[in-house]
Amino acid sequence: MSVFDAGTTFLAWVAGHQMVSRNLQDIVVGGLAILLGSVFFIQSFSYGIGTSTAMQAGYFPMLISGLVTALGVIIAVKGFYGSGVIHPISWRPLAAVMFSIVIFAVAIKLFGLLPAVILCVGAAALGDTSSRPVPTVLVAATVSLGVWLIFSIGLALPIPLIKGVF
Amino acid sequence: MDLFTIGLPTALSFDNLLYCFLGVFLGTLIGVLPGVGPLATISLLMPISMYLEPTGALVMLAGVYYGAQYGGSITAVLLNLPGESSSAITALDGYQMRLQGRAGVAIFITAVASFIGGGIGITILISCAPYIVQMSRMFGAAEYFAAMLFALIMAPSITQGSMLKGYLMVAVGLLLGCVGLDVNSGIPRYSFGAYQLYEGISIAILAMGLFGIAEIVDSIRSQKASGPTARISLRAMIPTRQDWKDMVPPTFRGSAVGCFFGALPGVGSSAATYCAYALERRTSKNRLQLGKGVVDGVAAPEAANNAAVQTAFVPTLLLGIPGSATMAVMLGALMIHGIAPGPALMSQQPQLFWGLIASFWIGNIILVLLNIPLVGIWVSILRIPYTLLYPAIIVLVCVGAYSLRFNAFDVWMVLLFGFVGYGMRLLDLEPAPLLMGFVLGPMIEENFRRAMLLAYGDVTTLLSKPIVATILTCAALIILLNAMPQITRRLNGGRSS
Repeated sequence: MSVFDAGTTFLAWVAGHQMVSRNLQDIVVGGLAILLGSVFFIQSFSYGIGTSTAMQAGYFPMLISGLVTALGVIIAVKGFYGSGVIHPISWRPLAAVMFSIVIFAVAIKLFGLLPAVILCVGAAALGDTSSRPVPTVLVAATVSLGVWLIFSIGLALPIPLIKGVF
Repeated sequence: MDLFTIGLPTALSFDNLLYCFLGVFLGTLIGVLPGVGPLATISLLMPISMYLEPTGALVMLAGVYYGAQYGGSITAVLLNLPGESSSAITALDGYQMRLQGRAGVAIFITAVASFIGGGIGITILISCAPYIVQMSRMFGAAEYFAAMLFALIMAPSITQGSMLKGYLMVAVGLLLGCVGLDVNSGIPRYSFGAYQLYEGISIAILAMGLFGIAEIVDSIRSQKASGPTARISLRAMIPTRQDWKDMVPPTFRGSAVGCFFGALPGVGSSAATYCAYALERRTSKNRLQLGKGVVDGVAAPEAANNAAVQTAFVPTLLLGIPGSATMAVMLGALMIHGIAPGPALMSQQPQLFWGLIASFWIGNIILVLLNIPLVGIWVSILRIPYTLLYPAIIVLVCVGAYSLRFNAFDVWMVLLFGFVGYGMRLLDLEPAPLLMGFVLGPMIEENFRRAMLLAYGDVTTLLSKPIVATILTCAALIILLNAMPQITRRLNGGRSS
């Protein structure tokens, strides 16, 4: 596969078109598995391996990460011969959902639970093109009320509702 | 019998009744949402259950389980959008019935068949429990290891999608299960410097990320306005006399299939529903109309479903080996509460055990009584545009994650697993086997260690133990049976080309 081929395949994948050439999906899966497996495999040695009768912390992870790597190789190799589909990535929903969780994680420490909830709803709503401001505000209000009732009152969790930023 | 002297009073206590009711209600509510199946629902509600005491938490989660199953069936019938693979079969005939204007009847049959199936499953559970406990006395570390291995081997062989990728997911799950402090040596493994990972990855976070968040990202664009849902009046739900007659045989057949498959470790309710439907194709009176909207096609899978759910508690509670990925999550919840499932559970924690089983009865009754009149409410929830719903679900996930340890780190972890989960969907990797591997990982490692120690490091000694050999041979045969079509295809292809 020349660099040009790889490049165009990648671009087509990004643009969301289905290209059926050498099951790219499986190659990616295999590649990721090999990566994950190798990292964990190498790391397992630093925990000590021991023997089969006196297993140390690294023995089992070594076996499993080896298995992951091996399966990764098999899947990647199979991917060279098969053909498969590529699913388009929903970039906007992905970005919005990720962003909303990030906002929550940051805001809950800085501003407290309720602002975090409201900001989270707002950010999440950006993910759908059919969101409108008024319904979103209503949802934010309802959810804040619900969260307050369930978590702060119902379960009596000690989470600060609103914190000032001093 | 203990069920009546200990179980019923426990289950009928005000607290536990309330939790049961809450579980069934919330389970149905969230289970109705398109795309959210029982597994995702349990993950979402797990953080809340952590604040309850063990019996209450389990009673609630169990209620969530069959509530969500019922909710998923409603969605399957009305929108042809199954929340999980086990509802997919119901959608086949159920949606057709809805198109014929018999949606109410379909949903009613769902409830009744589920109730009967569940009842039969519970009876089997109760009668088999003492025998299982006796049998488990013959189980040593090696046997447990083999049984867990069986569960892990079976898990990917019945999910759709490539089996190879399924096994990869199991292996990755096992690997993720290694994260945390090693029990024997106290060394933190794979924490990469983060002290928050010393206790390992929380199952609630893993499940919420992989199932909840990933599902949302996937569903946002594809959830256009769900089609017009008709009003369903109570009267429209009552089946005709012919319906009642038609319903009986498939329900019992389905229950039998469900009981069998539910009890097998690793095989979940999906396999039960597929097989129940396949059985109907061969034995039902109306088999020619199967797929076109026939009572049999709804009653059998639903009965199988619930029966499988109930009997899946058998290996989960008594042996500590989950019957399915959802049971694996339940097992995780049990362990978080400090309850060690196993043969001792029945004798050491009779209140928990029998109380839980009694609550299954009660929960199933609540399910039927509650949900038939409330169908209208569930239906109108389906009318809420997904645009408004999903931010609420995200908030639920975030707050739930944060509430585990009041640490924002957990929210970041949900983010990570949400991202990973979405990536997995794009790559056609199934998350359920991963969850199985994750929950079973530490236990398999411990049993493996012990077994090898007792076998003086010799694997062949291990494999030659009778029970171990039986279990592993069965697993090998089943894999072979599954791989047969592929192998014969290759052989025939080779010969003709």
